[in-house]
Amino acid sequence: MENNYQLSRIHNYVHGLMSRDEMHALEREALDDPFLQDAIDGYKLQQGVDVKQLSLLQQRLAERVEVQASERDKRFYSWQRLAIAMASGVLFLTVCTLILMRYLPQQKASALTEVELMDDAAWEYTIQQSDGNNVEPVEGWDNFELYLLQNLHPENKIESSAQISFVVQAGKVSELNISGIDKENKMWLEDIIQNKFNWKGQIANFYIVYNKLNIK
Amino acid sequence: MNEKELLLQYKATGGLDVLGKLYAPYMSLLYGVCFKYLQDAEQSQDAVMQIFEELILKLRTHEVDNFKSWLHVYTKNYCLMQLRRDKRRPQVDIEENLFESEQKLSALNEDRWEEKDFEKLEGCMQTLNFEQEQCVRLFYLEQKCYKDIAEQTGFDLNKVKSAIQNGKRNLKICMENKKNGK
Repeated sequence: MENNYQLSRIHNYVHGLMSRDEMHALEREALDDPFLQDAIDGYKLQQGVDVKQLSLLQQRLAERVEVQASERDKRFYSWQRLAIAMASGVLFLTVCTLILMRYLPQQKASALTEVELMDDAAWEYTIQQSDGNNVEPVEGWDNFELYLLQNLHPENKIESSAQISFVVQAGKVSELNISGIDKENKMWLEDIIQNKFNWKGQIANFYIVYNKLNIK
Repeated sequence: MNEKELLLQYKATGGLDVLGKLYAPYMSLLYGVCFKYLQDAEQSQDAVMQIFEELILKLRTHEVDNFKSWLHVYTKNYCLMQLRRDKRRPQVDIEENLFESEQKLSALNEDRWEEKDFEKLEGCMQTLNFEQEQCVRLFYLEQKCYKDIAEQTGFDLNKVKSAIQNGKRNLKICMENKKNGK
């Protein structure tokens, strides 16, 4: 605003609209301010101040400043977009890593049961001894159960309980009676009892119970 | 925000709005300066805008203490370069420019005057030529404007102006010599 005041003083000076004192004051100021002196000389040469011209200049400056402002906005937004893209990229990778870290070890752990899972269920055999049973495999019931499980084939697995009774004489199985299962399985089980295991005790009377274990 | 703060802010951010705030108040004076040298309205307007463009880089790299006088010198140099490029002989009064640059140099060490300094001044006044002495007396002691002095003495208005400027310069030299001589 000080400069508008200065401009109007220059205008008044050049057009002779000032009092003598004012003229002297401006001249004295100009002697100590070469910038002002030069400007006065210029306007004197131009024979006056053209306000329209000057406001046009101010307008040109404003436009020039505006250009950078909009350029900067554009730059800012594209920079912002880039930052958002990068941030979401990093976030995506982090989530992927977390998911992998969470599921990879589990997949390893479940690899053992993979074969059984294919059958959508697992099973086991347990032995239930009935009254009067006093036999036991020399290898132990646990091994007997395990043997059944390991040597089962999907085709000949026993899906119901089998009642078994026999007599052991001098380590030999006789009077073997198996019920509750089909013929094929019966033969397979007879072979196991007679040939794969040794028995101690005399009277055998037990069940092989088929248990279906639901995994899912 | 004052000029110094604006300068610092511009140097730090490079925001044209800041530079605009700094530059806009001087535009009308700058136009006058440009017109003095280029003597063409269109060219002077372009010069004012072109100087702004040059400041965009200059003010980010240069340390500027007194923006106003720096801007004045920069503008003057720009215009003189422009004239040289156009192979036009710049019509610059050598006396006047000499006065200005000397004035700039001595502006800082202005001491307080004592009684004997005024006696010295009177002595120095005698060393000025007739025109200079008359004009300096009328301007500084009787506080008359150039126009009045021109009317009273019958000198040309421009002659009055340069007589005062040169008289002031000679007085300064004379005063300094006396000071150093004692």
